[in-house]
Amino acid sequence: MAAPALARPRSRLIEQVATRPWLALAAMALASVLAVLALFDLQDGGLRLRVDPSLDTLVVPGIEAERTRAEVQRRFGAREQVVVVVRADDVFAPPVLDRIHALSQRLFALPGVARVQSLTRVAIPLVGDGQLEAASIGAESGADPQRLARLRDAALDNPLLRDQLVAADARATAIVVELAPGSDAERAAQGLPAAIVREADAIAGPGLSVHVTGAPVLRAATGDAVLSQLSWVVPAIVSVVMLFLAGAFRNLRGVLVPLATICLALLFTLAGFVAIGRPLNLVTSLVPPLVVTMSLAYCAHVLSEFEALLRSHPADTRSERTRRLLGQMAPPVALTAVATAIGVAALGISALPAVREFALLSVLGVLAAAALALLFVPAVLAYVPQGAPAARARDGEPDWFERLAARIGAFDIRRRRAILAVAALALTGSVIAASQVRIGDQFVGVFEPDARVRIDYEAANAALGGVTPLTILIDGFGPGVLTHPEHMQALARLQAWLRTQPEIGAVSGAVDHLQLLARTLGGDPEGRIPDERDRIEQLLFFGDSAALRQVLNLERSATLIHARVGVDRTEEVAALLDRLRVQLAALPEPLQAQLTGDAVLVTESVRIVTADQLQSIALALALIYACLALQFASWRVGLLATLPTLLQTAIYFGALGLGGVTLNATTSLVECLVLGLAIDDTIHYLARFNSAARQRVSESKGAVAALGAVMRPVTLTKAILGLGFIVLITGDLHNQVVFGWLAAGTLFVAWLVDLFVTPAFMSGVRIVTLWDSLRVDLGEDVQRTIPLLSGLKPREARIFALMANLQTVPAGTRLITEGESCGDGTRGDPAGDIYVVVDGRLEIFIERQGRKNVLMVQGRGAVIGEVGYFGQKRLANVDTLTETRLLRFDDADQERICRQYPRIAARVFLNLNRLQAERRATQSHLVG
Amino acid sequence: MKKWTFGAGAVAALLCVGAQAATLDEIRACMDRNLVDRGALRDLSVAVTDREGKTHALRLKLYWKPSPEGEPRVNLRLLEPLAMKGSSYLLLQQGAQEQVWFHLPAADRSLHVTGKNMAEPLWGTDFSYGEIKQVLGLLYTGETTVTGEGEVGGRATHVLETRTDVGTSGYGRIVSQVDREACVLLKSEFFVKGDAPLKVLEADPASVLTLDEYSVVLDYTMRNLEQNSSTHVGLSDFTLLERLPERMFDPERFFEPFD
Repeated sequence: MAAPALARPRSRLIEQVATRPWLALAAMALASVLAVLALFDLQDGGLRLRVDPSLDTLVVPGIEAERTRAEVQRRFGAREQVVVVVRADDVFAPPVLDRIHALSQRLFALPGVARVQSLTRVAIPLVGDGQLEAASIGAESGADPQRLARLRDAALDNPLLRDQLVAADARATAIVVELAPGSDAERAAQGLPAAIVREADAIAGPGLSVHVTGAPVLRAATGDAVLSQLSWVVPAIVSVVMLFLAGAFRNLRGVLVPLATICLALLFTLAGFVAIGRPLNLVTSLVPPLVVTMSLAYCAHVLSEFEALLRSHPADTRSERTRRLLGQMAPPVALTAVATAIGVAALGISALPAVREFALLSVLGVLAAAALALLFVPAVLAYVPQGAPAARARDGEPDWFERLAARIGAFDIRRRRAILAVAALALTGSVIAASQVRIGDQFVGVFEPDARVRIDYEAANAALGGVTPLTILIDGFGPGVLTHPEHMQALARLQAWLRTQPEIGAVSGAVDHLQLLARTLGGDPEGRIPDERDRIEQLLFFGDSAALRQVLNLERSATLIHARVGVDRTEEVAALLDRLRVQLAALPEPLQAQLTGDAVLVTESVRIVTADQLQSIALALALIYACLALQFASWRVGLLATLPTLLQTAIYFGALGLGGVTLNATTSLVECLVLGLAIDDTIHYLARFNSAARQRVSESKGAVAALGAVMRPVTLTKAILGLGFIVLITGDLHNQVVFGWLAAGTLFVAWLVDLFVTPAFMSGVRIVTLWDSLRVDLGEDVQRTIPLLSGLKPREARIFALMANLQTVPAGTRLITEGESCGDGTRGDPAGDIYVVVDGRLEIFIERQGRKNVLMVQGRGAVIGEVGYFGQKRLANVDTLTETRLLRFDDADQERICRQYPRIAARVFLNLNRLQAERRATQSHLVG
Repeated sequence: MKKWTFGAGAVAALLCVGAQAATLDEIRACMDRNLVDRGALRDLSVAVTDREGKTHALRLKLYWKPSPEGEPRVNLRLLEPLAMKGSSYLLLQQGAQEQVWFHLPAADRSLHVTGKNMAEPLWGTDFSYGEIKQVLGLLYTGETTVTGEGEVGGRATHVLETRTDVGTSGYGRIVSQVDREACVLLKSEFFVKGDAPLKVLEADPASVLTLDEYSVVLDYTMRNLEQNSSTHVGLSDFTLLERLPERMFDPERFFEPFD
């Protein structure tokens, strides 16, 4: 049977690359120069790309906790702190105190350090006999054991020191290093916080351990890890995938061309960072590995086709080969790039700027990778030696891969119901498991468990009962409101409640100051909150101190309660915040409370971002569905084509639920990204299936053939992508390790779905692609010149043509033979076919006693053989007089059109009936 | 009782001496000559502008009377805010040692404050226990050297640097500028470490008054650069009290009513 006669418009761009490859190379060279100019400062040779390791990248701007943080900073101010935790059997032992004091002095001497508070430097109030001594241990801790014992008791009895600067069991103490204002870059130039770690390590020894933590330390470690990833993970991905490509292609061009491509893609992407003025951060640092991986995948597709062309068309000239290569690869690569771009672009609705930047830069990177694959790679291939293709099985014989694909395809068709049942079970199970997915993140979970920064954080957490700050701002909205005894009592109750919560390690607030002042200045050994307002005001007035001002404003209208959270998971913090909000709502009027601090900022952001990301996934699915519906010119087929992707999405979330992996910014990113990647191969498969099914007039055979055609590139690209992502597990950042595992695992699932579910699922569906419909040529003025298609829009007419069989028949071909039985309408039985003439001429005749009686000659628009459609015997012979293009369809085609395009089917039936009626009327008129 | 009111016109003429002093001793001697050698009372109006931009007012009476050995003695009485009325603060200096007592009327309790809290802020202002005496024309206690000449508001100054124990005073060094002509303190910068001051005390050069043998500054402003707050101290009245009782500077009785 002849192939459908499709017009093949050739892109001017393809023609340019085929005939003038140097032009594409020159354009890429120019773009590269511009990118280098953007990326490097030519005066000092430095990289313009910056790294932002701050927690702010994970905080949603404008949320209440962030506004409260700004309000707290405005009203109370605070320096950034590094906390050095010293652990010993007894931190009050003179040798330990001496080392703490020496370390405190050395830390204070460091540039960039503004203040150091430690057990030996802080003033410890000693009250006695009308005297208040602000004592400190200082350097002479061993000189007076009695005095030291008194200071120890006072410190451990002081609510502002106990659990804040020294653990209640005296086995740990904190040295709080306040940093001078400055950026991370300025601090790095001063050697901070590395110098603090170095000094702290110097006093460690037998029986004394030190741990350094705090936001600046975490940020510095994050910045180092991000840079380390760029310098290690990206080259590692390149190396691993290059080895894979070397094995797959077994020639130099199969390695060098992808290498050049990823270098350029990386260059363009990093220049994109500089162009939009954004630094690399925890989230956007995933873009370079993604771009490298995508570039390699696209490049592998093009190279794979190039190798195939070398085998199948060895006599082609270079330009012919380039033309053929781009003709084959431009549509799928462009379409897959668009689909991937849609997947990641859906992240653009995220409330988190870092995720939006990730989306923007990933889209740029993916499109750059596709452009390089379609412009740079063919242009380079036009110049490299066109040597022998990679070794394969003997010509004409399928290799093991193709044989395996054929077996899997046959299995898919044979076991279609079973596969679909398993897929349905997997879908149901995944949805149930997905309902167990928890939303959450970790504060230091971004680092691997054996990372120094995480070990120190957790040790400090354990020693002091928590180091992650949680701040409660309580506003009374009026001068002196907080000096009312009942308000102070309410704050005391709140603090007491906080101290009973298992997630909280330490609490301090104005109440602690007031109670200490009541003891030291007010002469109350119990340190009770005074019942008289004047007394509270005087105690606070005379007890004014820098520490008090950090928790109570001068107007006495607002106060802070500082708590330190000892849990690392945001879901645990979220549970605490839910309980805490109930307590805060119960504060007496006019007190109102707001929450902030790292614990709250990250927890609230994770909640919002995750909800956003779920919306992004839904949006990506919707966009992909719209894209597929457009591609296949049918909402129904679009939906069917989206189902394998839906299944893969459900399995991903089910795996998260079963594996106890929390849903957060990183894990949500994976799904959006993989969703974009997974749909690529579905599109490849469906496009192949469409033409294969039409050629073989069988969806089942088409499904097998399509799998045989796409299994190699699908497996190759999935393997490249999987290898690229799996290399991320060697990085320093835990979120990227999780990203790597999840992305690779999800790609594997997507590969299984591609191999088994999609063929089984789609084998019963004839599809029409937009690409095909655009290429169908039915001639001019279809509606008027082909009565069967009257009333259809041109696009609908083309869809009908593709759902039927558009074929070219040479002159002199017998289409219908008089007296032939019209069959039972089963598929493939030409006896029941109807023909519509698109162009060409046909002769209808009967033979009687050896004489040929020509009844009529028909041309464009004629419908022939419709009696066969209605089950009668053929009444005449039909031969082609010229090469003729025909639309041939049978009962099965009509049913399929009815299912997928009911409007088109209804119109065609109507037209067919009208034509029949007209023909009967004509016959009656002739008889009459 | 003899009373001068600066700005109101009824002021005794005070003379300034030793404007050309160049050595530290000469500068100190010149400054000391501005100190009243008998009982005196100053009315202080204090306006604190906190980091939120809100202003809080205090009114105090500052009683001054050197000890028989010539050491500074200061008694501060709070008049406003009313909740604090009657609160008293006593500062006695003996050589390099400063001792502080204060009295809380609500608790009816006096306390002798010693130790390392001289850097803590005083009564919601930007002055610490140790800094408040600067407005009286006293230098910060520590090891002082003359480092050069300077200028503040068009007035020539001697520049002095005082090194202090950061653990006690809260500062590593204080750079002061003393008016060469009137020997009054025009500016002090307080450094914890490094070259950026934490606080700056500045006199309004236009408020320097020289009457008889004394020179005084009527307006000082202390700015806390870290906290973004400031405290303005205005010395409105100056009264010589020939018979200021000793009990005003007695740690046991300094809080008893005087007038």
